[in-house]
Amino acid sequence: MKNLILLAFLVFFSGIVTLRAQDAGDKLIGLWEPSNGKARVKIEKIANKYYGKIVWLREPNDPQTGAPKLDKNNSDESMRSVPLKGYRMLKDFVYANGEWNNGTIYDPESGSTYSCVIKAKDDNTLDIRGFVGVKALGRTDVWKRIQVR
Amino acid sequence: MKVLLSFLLYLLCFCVACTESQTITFKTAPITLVASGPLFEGSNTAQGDFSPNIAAFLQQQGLAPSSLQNATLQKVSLVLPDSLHADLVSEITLQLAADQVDMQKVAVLNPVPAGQTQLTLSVAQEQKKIADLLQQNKMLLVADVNLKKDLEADWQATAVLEFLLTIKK
Repeated sequence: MKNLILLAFLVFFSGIVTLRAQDAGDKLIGLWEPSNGKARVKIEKIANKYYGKIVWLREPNDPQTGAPKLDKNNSDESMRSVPLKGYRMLKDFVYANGEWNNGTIYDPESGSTYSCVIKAKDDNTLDIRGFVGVKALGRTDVWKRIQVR
Repeated sequence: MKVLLSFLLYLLCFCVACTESQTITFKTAPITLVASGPLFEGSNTAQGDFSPNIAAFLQQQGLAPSSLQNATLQKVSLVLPDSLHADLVSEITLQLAADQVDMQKVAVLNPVPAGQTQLTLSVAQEQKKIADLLQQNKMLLVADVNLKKDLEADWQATAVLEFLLTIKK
């Protein structure tokens, strides 16, 4: 009987710990602006992963065509008609050990995708590090939270 | 020497025959995509999930589940409930994902033709791990729907996906 109570306690406690970890990860959800101020990215949670898509562009139209900007640098020609506004540039981030990792970041200006890790400096500041292969070979950008009224 | 070469040639033919493959089409049941309202002008996320149950499908065809070699998405059809839903949308981008497989963009329609409720999206030429996705218990469909104006209610569509499966004989 004692063992049963102990087991039930452990199951309950581990459930709480898991829920707390998930809640902590959810602080990534919101609207963010990269340091260059060219775009705003809305981060949302789908299933148990985090994704970010461009919801605002400082220059939404292509100066050459006057039409909304498209993903014209995509290596897959068939996907070059995807609009940049609404583009999912952060994908598949999982929260663990105080950071969001295993994800990727897409640079629409080069058409390149990089491995990426996100760390929260505080509730309103993120360090977004894109890298190739190892984290040391990368670049960090600071994103600021946009307060939505 | 000639005998040895003939033997090797036969062996090669035997190996090629053994690895011969066939293709079959797998079509999903209609999958409902929903973006819960109220929704705002701009990009909104509609989601739906389904269980591919590809092992059962292969067994129905008299094939072993392990015989699946490769899969590609061939066609994506979307049906919108009415022309009001269709006229609200400027573009749609569709992604597939699962717990163990990263999300990938698989289809796009830009622009969405005015007044049409039956849509066929352009499918990506570059596709990865589609067979892995089909072998998951649950696959997630995520549609980025760009709305021309705010919508108080939910936005809904029904999707049917057609996959071409390469089967090892």
